[in-house]
Amino acid sequence: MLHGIDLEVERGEVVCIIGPSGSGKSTLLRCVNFVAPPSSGSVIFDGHEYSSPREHRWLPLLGRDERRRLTRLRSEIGMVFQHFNVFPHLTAEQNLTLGLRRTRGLGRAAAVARARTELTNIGLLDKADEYPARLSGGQKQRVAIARALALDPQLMLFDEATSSLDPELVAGVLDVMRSLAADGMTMLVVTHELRFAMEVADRIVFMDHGRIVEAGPPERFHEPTEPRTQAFLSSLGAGGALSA
Amino acid sequence: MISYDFRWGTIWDHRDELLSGLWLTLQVAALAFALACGLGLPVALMRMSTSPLLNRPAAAWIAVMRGVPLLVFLYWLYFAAASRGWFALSEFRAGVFALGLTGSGYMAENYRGAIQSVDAGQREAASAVGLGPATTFGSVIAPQALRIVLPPAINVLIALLKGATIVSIIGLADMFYVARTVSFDTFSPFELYTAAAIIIIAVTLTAATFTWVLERHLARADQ
Repeated sequence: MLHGIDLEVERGEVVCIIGPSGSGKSTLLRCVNFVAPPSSGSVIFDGHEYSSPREHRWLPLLGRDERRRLTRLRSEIGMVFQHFNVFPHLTAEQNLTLGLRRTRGLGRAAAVARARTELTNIGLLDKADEYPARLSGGQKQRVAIARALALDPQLMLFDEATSSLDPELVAGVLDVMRSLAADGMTMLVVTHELRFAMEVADRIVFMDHGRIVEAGPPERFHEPTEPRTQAFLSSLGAGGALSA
Repeated sequence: MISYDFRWGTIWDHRDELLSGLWLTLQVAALAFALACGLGLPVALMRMSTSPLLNRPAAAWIAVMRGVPLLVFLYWLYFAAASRGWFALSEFRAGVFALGLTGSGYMAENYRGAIQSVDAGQREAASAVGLGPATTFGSVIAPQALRIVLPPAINVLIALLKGATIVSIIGLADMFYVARTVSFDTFSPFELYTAAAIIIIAVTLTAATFTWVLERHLARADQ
C-alpha cells in the first residue's frame, strides 16, 4: 500500500530506496514499470505519461493498445528481481537472446553476438551454454542483470537484488551494480545494503508505511532529521556502516 | 458346484482377432488423446480469461465433459444423434469423439493447473524483458508448463486407453468385443477377458515407462 508518493529521478541518477520490510519499497519499484499496476496515479517516463490500463473485464481485447504501450515502456526499463527469475528452461545465453530477438527484433547471429558481449562483461561467458540450475545464486543474478542490460534500458530497477544471495556471493553482484552506476546508468535500487547505498547513491530515499519519510544525498543520512529514520538506522546497528 | 476348466489354448486360437482388437483400441485411444490435447488447451486458456464471455462457456464445457458418463456420451453420439437425424457417425468416429471430448475436459484442467503453477516471477520477468502476452506464453510459460502437465496428461491417456475398451458396446471389434463373441461360441469367457486385461496392463505400463523416460529427458536442464 502506497500513499501519495512523489518521486523524481534524473537521467543518470542513482537513487537507493531503503526502509523496513513492508514499507512499500518493492511495491513502488514494481509500479514504475507496471509489473504491479498502481490503482491510481501515473508515471512520467522520458516525457510521456503512463497510467494503469483500464480493466476491460468482459472484452479484454479493448485494453490491448494500452497494454501494448506499457509493454513498450517495459522494454525501456530493465528490472532485476530478488529471486532472479531467470528462465530455467533456457541456457544463460538463451536467457539473453530471447529479449534481444523478440523485443528488439535482432536476427539470430546479432542476438548471440550481443548476448556473448554482455556475458563477457559480467564474467560468465564460459557459462553461456549452462542452464540456470547449474549456476550459483550470484551467477544467476548476474545473468539476470545481463539479460536486462542487453536491451539497452534507459532505467534499471533493482528489487533487493542481493537479499536472497549467500553472503559471499553478494559482493560480485554489488560490483556489477557499482560499475553500472559508474557508467552513468539511471538506477532505482531497493536495497538492504546500507553501505552500498551510502557509497553509490546520489540520493537515498527512506520509506515507511507506504510513504517517503525522508530523502536526500547520502550525507544527510549520517544525521537524519526524522526520528523514524534515526530509529531504523540505529536498529540496523548501522553506525559503523554509515561512517565507513 | 459348477466346475470350470480353464482352456488357455483359446487365447492362442484367437490371437489374430485379439491383436487386431488391440490395434483398434490403440487407434481410438491415440486419436482421442490427440483430440483431448488439442481441444483442452484453448478451453483452458478460455477458462483462465477474466472475461465471463470466455470463462463461463469453458467452465460449462469442462463440467459437462467430465461429468457425463462415457457410456451415455457414446450412446448420444452414436445412437441418439443418428436416430434424431442430426448427424451420423461411424462407430469408430463416435468412439473417438466420445473419448476425445471427455478427455478434453480433463486436459483443460490439467493445462490450467500446469500453467498456473509456473512461478509468477517468470511472468513478471518476461514482461520486464518487454515481451508481450503471446510471446510470454509461448516462449516462457508454455515450455515450463509442458513439463508439469506431462504426468497428468499420461494419466488421461491411460484412462482413455481403458475407456477405449467400452467402444465394443456400439459394435467396434476391439479386444473385448472379440472376447465376448468368442465366449458365446466356446463358453469360456474368462480366458479371453483375462488376456485382454493383461494386454491393456502391458500397454499402460509401456505408456508409463515412456513418460518416465520423457520426464527424465525434459528434466535434464535441472541437473
